[in-house]
Amino acid sequence: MGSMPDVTLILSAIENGDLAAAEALLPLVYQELRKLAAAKLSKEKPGQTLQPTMLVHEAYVRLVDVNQPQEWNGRGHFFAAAAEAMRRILVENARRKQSLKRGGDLHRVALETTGGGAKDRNDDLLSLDEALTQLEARWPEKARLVKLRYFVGLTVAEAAQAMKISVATAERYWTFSRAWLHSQLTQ
Amino acid sequence: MKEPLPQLDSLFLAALDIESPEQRATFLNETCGTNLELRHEVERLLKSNELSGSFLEQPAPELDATMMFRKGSLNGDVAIHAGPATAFDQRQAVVIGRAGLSVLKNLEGTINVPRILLRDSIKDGPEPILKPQSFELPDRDSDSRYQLQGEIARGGMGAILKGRDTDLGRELAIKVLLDSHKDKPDVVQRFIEEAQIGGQLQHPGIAPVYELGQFADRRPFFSMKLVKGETFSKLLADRADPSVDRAKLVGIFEHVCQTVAYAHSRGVIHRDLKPANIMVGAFGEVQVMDWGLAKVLLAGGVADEKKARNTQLAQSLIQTLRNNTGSDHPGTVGDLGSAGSQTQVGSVMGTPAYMPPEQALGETDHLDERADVFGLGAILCEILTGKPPYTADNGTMVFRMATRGKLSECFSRLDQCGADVELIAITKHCLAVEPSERPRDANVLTERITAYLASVETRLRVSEVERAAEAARAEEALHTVAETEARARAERRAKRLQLIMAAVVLVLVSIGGVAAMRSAVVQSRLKDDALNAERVAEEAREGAVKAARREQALAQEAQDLQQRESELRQQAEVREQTIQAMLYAAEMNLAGQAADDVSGLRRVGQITTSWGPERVARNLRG
Repeated sequence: MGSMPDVTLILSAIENGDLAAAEALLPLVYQELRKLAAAKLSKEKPGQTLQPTMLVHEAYVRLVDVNQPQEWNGRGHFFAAAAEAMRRILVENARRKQSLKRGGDLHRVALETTGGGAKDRNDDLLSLDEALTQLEARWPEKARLVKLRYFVGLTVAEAAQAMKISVATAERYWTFSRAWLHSQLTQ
Repeated sequence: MKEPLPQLDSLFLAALDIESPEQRATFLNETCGTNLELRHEVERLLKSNELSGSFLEQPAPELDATMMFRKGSLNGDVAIHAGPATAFDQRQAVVIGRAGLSVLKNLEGTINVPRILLRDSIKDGPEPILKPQSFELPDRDSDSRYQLQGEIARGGMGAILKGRDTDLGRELAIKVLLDSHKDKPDVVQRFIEEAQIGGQLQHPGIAPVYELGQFADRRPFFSMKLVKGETFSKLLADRADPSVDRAKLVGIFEHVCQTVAYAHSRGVIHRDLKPANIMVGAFGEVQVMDWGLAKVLLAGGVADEKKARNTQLAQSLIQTLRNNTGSDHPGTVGDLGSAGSQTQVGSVMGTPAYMPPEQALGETDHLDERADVFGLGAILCEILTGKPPYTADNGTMVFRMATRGKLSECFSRLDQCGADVELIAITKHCLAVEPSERPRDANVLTERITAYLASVETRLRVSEVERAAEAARAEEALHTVAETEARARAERRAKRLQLIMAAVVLVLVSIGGVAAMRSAVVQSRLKDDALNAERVAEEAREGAVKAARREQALAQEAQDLQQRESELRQQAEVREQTIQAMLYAAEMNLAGQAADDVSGLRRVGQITTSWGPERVARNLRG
């Protein structure tokens, strides 16, 4: 695992306030998640789906030297990057599926595992992504929490820990963001 | 981090903490003041909060195998795109369309998609699905033309699923590699080999392979004709007695021999021939199933030992994998099945009860066509005696018998079965312990069976001809009775005529004075006439025979006969006149002669006076 020290280093750099390092992390995590998902999905029985949460955790174990005692918030930074990466992967996937529904791709060889509601689900995800982008523009911290909760599957407490905020704050962020996104989507 | 609308979130959260609607309204009045837009937004959020339910509480949708797709993406991505197209480099492969992709779904909207569906045949037999919910069923693929409906059977290497080709609207048997083997290249290779062997064996006696494909989960499959009907094994077991239906069953066996002969001609041996692997359809189709143990021989017909050595690993692996095809209970090594009728697990493959000694001894590499000939003989044995060659209480015993070629019980069973000696001899020939003593291949056997069946047919035909001849004779006899009656009638008439004739003669004789010579002349004439009359009578008789055959015309015919009779009577009269004329001439002659002698004068007078003017007037003088 050649990329492992890189990610650990990058996380450490982010911890030290290196903003460029945060930018370098995202593509690395993104690649790793894709690769991991690909490998897992090809091995698993078809129809078996992958929980993004599990995927992110596994990527973390693979990318970050967990044996090293970490006093800094490497995990939080990693999950933040992973949440964004996961979001992009899912959105990309939903977009592609939409284009396929319009009869776009003759080379398609993928299997369809979803039922009748797949189209709605893809639409929902794309609308949510749009609303999330708006939320991000106005309340970036709250959007981060949503991403950690929704795309990494962290609990409010875990997300609070990753974001270094109190659980109560996280709860408030969450309540507001949920209401706000819901109102955006039902407008 | 300053937020553009700092109030909104805190206002909302503060409002949310106030439970009473009135107090909440008051709070909003106070805080928002004239900023109605803000107030409206807070209210909207409060409402959304109420309505949101479990919104976003569940993490993002799960990833499925389609999620990573991107055209021209990296290998890591390609790996998860199952399907045949990915098995090749896109630049090399000519992808006409994905195997198994529904063409009709693609055409939907462009044409009125036809949906012809023939009715099921009533005689198709029972539904073959055993397990509707099979672990081996791949996931539904909405673009696939195949609908999978359940599992029919399970073998060591693959499962046979029942499927439907929705494009062509037909049912299929789809053999798919077991999920547990999909990452074993040697098993995948062997599986594809089976598809290729089946695909190249094109004969009405072999269920055709339609397509080799790959499911989305990368498991290869091949689709085949779904053969409905009974197994030959069931047909044989359902008989009340082994002598029942023997001719028909030997006829089916001939089909099996022909099919195996074809396979042998293509250099393929089956290695697991038994009644359970033969399907007999409701409309006379006979098909040899399960070519999963089949082996390709070299051109010379000798087992390809070198190839076998080269693929030793794969061979032994497959041998251990191959087990009781068609059964739901995968056997284990050492457990040879209750009666040795199931395909064997372990280094020995096949079914002991029908297995030649060399196969039972594990000489799998040296097997040739004659191993199949033994299997065919074993099937024939079951046809004739109701049981396979080797029978024992348990599979181990059966297997032991098979290894030692213990056939004495089988042979005595054959001797007592009451079948044709010829057929028994063929069976024993096939079951020879020494391969070199058996018929060389299935073709030789087929010829013998065909010859046997032909001889049976000839025998049948001969006896049939005899029966027909007998029937004809009986019919003729019936005809004869009618004819005799008719003839008797005609003869009675003829006799009457003769009586008439006799009367005429009597009349003539009574005329008297006729010399012996004259009377002889007259007699001979009369005889001729009588013959004529008889000929006429014969005609009448024929007419009478016809009359007897055509009852409705009888009356008419009888009338004709009467007419004839009267004609004859007239003719007789005419003849009488002629005779009188001749008599006149003769007697005048006599008178002349008499005149020459003195004593005759009185006689002349008598004659001439007897021929008075009225008699002469009838122009008798000629």
